[in-house]
Amino acid sequence: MSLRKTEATILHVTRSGPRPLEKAPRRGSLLDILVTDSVARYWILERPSGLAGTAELDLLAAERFTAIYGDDPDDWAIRVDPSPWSERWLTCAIPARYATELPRTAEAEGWRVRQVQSRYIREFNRCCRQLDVNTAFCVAARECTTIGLIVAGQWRGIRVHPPLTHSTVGFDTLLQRDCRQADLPTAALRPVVVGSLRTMAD
Amino acid sequence: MLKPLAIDFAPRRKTVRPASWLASGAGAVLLVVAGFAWLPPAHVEASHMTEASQRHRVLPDDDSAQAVDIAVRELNLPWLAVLDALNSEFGPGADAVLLQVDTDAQRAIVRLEGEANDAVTVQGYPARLRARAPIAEATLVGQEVRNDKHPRPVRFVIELRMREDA
Repeated sequence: MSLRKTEATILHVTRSGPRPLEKAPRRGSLLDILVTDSVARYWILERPSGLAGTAELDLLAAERFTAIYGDDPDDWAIRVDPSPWSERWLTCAIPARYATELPRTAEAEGWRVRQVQSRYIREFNRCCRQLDVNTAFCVAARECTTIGLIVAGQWRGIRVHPPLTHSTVGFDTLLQRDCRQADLPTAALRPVVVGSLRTMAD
Repeated sequence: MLKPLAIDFAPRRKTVRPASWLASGAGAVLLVVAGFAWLPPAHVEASHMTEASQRHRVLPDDDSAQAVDIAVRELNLPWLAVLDALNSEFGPGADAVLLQVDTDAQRAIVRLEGEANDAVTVQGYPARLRARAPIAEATLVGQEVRNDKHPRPVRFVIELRMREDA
């Protein structure tokens, strides 16, 4: 076995569904499932007091999901990042079929599913070590633009917008709107943009 | 610098990291080396043990076995617990003091001789001692009231039987 970090094949899940899944080149080949932000849902969960366990956290996240988006949480897979150092937790939901059925299908094809993540989470984890504690981290992709606002290391807001190619306003305006929504001055945050359309944000 | 988000929808599974493999491999090598280093002397020791066990395979006779049984039984008596009980009952501030303590380990008996302020106190001691966990029986064997001006005029003898299953 190689001691180097093993590369995984990426299966992109777009708005129209997952790309065709081929058979694994060899049994146990690593697969990362990458779900577009255009089908993912994000929100910020205020850290509750007196949380008894993860089951209660799941219930709370599901309740907030219904309150914000009005959908049935049973059809969605919801994950919270309950960082002990933070008062606001980023929460993400993707359609349940991409978190359960798709990995099952992939494993039947000989793949070993290593990660199932949304695009924004994956990009953030890739870049987070270089980010400042006051950052507007943006993923400008072909299907959508996701802007997350971080102040003093705490999540303050996150929104998914249409892609910059289809947006009637520029990136700066989108960022200003989001900051205003979160009651933040735009100048306080350093924008960091990644993704295939990042040049359109300049 | 920000921390990565712990958000992953992948089915939970036990991951094996390269570092774990490395540590496991090093451990296995160490085990093999230690095994080879230990095996030859172990072989010699084992042969000696075999000879020794053959030499001493003679069973102990009845007297020896009985002596061992008695010693084990005596060692198993609740000596420390009895000592604690006596210390509580006859310690500083008590109405009586102990002058002598004799033991008969074979019969699990402890014989106490002491002096007390009055006869009523002495007559209450057997019941108080019986209430102690390591003491199975307490009997007032005798008491004597002296008519001199001794500060504790009542002498007494109490026999305790220790609880053998304590």
